Amino acid sequence: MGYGRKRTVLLIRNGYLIDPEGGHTGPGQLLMAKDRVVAVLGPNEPVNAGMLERTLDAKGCLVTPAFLDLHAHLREPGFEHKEDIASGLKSAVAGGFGYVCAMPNTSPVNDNPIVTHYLLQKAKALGLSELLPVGAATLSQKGERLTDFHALLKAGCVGFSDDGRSIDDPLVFQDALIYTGQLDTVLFEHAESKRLGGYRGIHAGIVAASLGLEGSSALSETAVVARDVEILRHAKGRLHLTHISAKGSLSYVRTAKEEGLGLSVDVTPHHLLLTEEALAGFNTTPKVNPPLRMEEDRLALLHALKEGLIDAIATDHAPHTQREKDTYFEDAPPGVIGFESAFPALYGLVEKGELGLEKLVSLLSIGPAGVFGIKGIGLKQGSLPNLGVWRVLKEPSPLPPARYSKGKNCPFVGVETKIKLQAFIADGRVVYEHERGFGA
Amino acid sequence: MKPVPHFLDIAPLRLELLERLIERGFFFKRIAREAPERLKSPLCMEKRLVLLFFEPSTRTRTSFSLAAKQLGFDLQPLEPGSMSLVKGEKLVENFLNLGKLGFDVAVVRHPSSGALHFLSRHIGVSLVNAGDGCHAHPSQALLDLMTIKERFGELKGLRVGIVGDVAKSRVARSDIHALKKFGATVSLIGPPHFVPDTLEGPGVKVSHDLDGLLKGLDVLVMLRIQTERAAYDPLLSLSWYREAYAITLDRFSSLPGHAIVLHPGPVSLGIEMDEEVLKLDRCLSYTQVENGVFARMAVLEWAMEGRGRCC
Repeated sequence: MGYGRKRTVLLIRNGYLIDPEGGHTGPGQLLMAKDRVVAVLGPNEPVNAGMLERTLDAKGCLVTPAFLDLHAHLREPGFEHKEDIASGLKSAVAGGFGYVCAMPNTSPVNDNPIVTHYLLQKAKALGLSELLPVGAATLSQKGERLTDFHALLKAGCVGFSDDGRSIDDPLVFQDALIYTGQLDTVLFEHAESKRLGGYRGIHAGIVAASLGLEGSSALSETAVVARDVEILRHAKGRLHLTHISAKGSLSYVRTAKEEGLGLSVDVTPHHLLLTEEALAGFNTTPKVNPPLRMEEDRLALLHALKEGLIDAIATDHAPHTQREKDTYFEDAPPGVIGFESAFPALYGLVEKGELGLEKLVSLLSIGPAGVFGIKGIGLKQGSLPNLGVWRVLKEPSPLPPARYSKGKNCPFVGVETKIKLQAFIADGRVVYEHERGFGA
Repeated sequence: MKPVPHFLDIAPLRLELLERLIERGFFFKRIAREAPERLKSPLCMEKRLVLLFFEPSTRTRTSFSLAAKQLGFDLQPLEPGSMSLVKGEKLVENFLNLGKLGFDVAVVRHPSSGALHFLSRHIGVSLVNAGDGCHAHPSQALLDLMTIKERFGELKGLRVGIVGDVAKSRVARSDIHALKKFGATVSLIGPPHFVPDTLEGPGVKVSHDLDGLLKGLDVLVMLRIQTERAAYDPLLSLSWYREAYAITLDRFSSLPGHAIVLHPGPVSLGIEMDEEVLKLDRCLSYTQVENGVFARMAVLEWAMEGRGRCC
């Protein structure tokens, strides 16, 4: 056999492979080493299983590459009661995510290499998902002075963001973009204007009007997106707009992409699946920034997704404890958790014929990887040996609460799904199985 | 935790209950005139009621106090002081303590929309909403219904205009729900930042032209501009607002001869309403104050029906 049998460790048999690049979608087998996919074989091709540490029978399962989440809050250091790196990365694995971008709004903020090193060291010791630190764009995320992008990149950061808020000062924003061009990195922007009524966690629509809550209009996002695109046009560089929510933002994205500017965008599962109606009765769980908007926004995002205007789906996994969310609306912190529910909830779109399965897998894997130019995510010979094995259920079953995240603020609990993660493979090893958890 | 009745919002209440409460309010009004010594209700005697206002209030607070006293409640006004601005968890703790102290009813005003809904999920004291943020002021709606019904006998088919800062008005929200239940139609009138299109719905129209509507209104509800609820005041020109939306004698004369004017108070004289209008017979803002006590008696009595002492 020509594929270096001494180094092979795992065979996945009888699965249905979903290659987001379209090459190997269909029944097949995967032979893995610790550092790569060694071979992709047809369903009946003979394999010398004698040298394997393990064979995983994936009958009735889809096999996908591990997903990459561009946007997550792991809360450590500083807010370990909400989540820590261990609970967060376990939750990520249980949702099929093998690579997680950790936003810098921790305490202390990840605005210097010491924090970056701390994050990487902790994550590495776990041997689960790979943590991709996103450094703060400005010191303490105050929006005033840029951080040392060069030093943070050397420490292992993959990009920069003041996530949780926009960079309001147009000059600071412009300078950050100029640096991304010089240093070949990317600036993530949470496009929302406080001054124009952003950050209220509920759309300024009929639900807010009837509850007597001040909402955030679409303008609080679109005005910032418009400014960002205009500055990008002049500064060049690489900009990534995260969790866009308003239909009106899409025209700016379209223009920028047509002009060939360095722009990419992601949307979240909650903005794709839910609307302002979810907040009726002062429900604080789906209180998020930017807020869940109207059905026409949701449909426009979905359409843009199919069209290829949107590059990726990112969860914006933002854990809070039950106690923190169980309060009156204005007092409740914004954010929902997303790792464990993302694919099962989004799979509903596939079931309803609203999104192709390969397209969905692509938006969770090579789509986000493309934002950084990360190579190797896929199901090809030589791909990274990180995979999710998803059992397709015969009958729909309600999504349970998150098993591993400390956050209990999931808006999809109880939503019917026909898929669940059966196993997860990291570095060619089965690190998680539904029945056994991480104990194996 | 035993379920207890809460009076939080007009929206979920059945029409029959609202009708019953209105009739009960009229009953109390009659008894107060004929035999005030009979006002005390055996359901309320010796029961403990606490007034908790996390926002300033004169007439609502006084009105609830009088209502409670006349029904025979053991009334405890509590100064929130250190309790004000507390976070949700702390707020619940404070209320749990009230339950332990043997309170049966808490009349609460809070600056945050939905604060009482949240509390009602955690505590066993009956809550009566005296105003939460911009969300609801159900006892005000009840007294408005009483006042309108007293004049017209019937609410169905009435055309009601609500003028002013509707977006920030809990009175307007509760009035809208109440009036719609009785089959009245509502026009919300004011400049766009006070009356956004999102407020429109079945039976509710949004308009920016008061003069165009005056001839077709039976009831005009004037609201105060709530500068204290805005982080910043978008209304730069009061003189313009006055010119376009104030109820002056001139405008009053454009209303049909049977039409009435209401104002939940406090009135900003010379801004949304002129003093000459306030003095007219068909301006019922003082009747509203009077009816307020009886409407609130009906609410407090209802809260005590079918329940023993809690916790």
